[in-house]
Amino acid sequence: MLPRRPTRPDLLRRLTAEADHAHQVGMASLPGELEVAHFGTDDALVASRRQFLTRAGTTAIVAGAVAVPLGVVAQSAWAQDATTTTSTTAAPGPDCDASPVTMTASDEQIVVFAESVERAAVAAYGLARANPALGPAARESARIFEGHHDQHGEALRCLVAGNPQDPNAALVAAFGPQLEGARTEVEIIELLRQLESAAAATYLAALGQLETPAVAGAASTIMPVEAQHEVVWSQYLGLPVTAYVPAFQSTDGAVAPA
Amino acid sequence: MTTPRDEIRRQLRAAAADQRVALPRFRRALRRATDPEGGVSSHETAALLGVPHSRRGFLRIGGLGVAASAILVSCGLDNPPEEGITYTGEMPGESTATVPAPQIGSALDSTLLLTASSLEALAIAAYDAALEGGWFDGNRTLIDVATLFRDQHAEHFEAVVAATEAAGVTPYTDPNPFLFDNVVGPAADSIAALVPEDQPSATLDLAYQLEDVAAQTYTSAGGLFSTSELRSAAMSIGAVEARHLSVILGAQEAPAAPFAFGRTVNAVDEAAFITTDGPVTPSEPAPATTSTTAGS
Repeated sequence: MLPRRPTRPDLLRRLTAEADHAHQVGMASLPGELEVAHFGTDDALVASRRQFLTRAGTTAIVAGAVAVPLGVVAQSAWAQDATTTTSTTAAPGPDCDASPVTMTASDEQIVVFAESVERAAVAAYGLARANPALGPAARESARIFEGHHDQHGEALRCLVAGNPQDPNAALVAAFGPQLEGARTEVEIIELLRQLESAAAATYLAALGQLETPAVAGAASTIMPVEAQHEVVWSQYLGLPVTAYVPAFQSTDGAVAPA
Repeated sequence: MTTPRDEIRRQLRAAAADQRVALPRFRRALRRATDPEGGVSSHETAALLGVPHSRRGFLRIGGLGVAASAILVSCGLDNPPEEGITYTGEMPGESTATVPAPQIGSALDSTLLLTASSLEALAIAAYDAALEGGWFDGNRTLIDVATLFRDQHAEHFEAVVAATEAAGVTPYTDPNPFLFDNVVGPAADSIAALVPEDQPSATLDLAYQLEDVAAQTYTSAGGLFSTSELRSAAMSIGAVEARHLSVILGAQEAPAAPFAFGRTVNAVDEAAFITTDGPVTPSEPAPATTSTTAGS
């Protein structure tokens, strides 16, 4: 047990109580989507999320032999030549304000690549949602996560004030046909899980290369969300928690620029 | 004489100056976020406003606010700042610019490492208290998950300690005293006083608060550490704290990935920092006990 320390009225707890009150007032005015669990409000679907409480620690339940397309996408290593420290400042791109973040040329290359990965993720989720095998609860989660990736892509685009990048062609070629051809919901979700796992690994690999703190900071706000996406899909598949909560995030499966 | 704490505060003032530069962008972002036609989801509006997602009480410890939010980034700047760590003062359209040396340095690195290990030690202590106190009311799954998370925090602790030693700094190995005194200690008192069936929920709330602070602190550190090695090491841990958060949110039947971007508003405040001089806010002394003696 923790040693019993005398409690005392303090500013922090008062602020907590005030903030909680303000939060509850604020919550009443927010749209209901904040209140909707990712798997919807249907009792059966909510129950599927509760299943992790009973499945944690059990063996993985992964139906079928789903191909692993993303592992072959990783190409050359992150062999960035970071000798240059001259940055480029482009004109603002559409819908971005002026003055993008000043960064090294190598960082700009990484940011552009990361944007292409986010665009590919948006495309992937679009294909997943279009597949009739995806159930309504998972489709709603896919819609939300697609929106997240779209915001990631826009944020990265505005870092360099460029025009929108095309979806990463290698990723699209790797998962597109599989998502379109998937016959079961489990297959679709497994592909999405792999995509998110690769995305999280890719951002960690990028952080090992980025030189500009502000750019690294932006990447640091995106990376944990990809990890959380992976958790959601893993729980839906009923995977044991040890399968999707490692002690440390790794770069295994990271996607690299050509 | 400039002490390490003075250097930390100088660097924090520099970071604050960076924030002042970011404020116009924040105001524009806020206008866009609250505009019904702005295309910003309610999730992101809530994130921008620092409104928590959960109805349960949360702890806003304060933020080491670095403008890493992509909403802020996407808004850019109207005019280059007079001071800052990454801007040259040249207007858009200039073809090249030299990136100035960042003001982030080894003193801040040390503080971040020492504070990180104190957070990990705090998490270990909290999970140990929950497990030893039986606060999960026999729920085997929650016990297993808490045990896993406690063990992972122990690995994080060891990794941060190793990084601290590699930096030539004496590690800090105790639970963060400010957060212990102001968060975990009072929470432990409250939970211990609950009936057993109410303890799991309250314990999950505490776990959420701790994981949230940790995750946001690492996210913040991802933009503050002075080297790419430290930044990637921080996020190799921070991403796991985010996964912990998602699992806890799932147990609370709340959205497990509610925001498009990781936040930093709940990253540890300076009051909770550990510098090479020690904690900015030392532990509270234990109350003096009164004793009575038999009348003579």
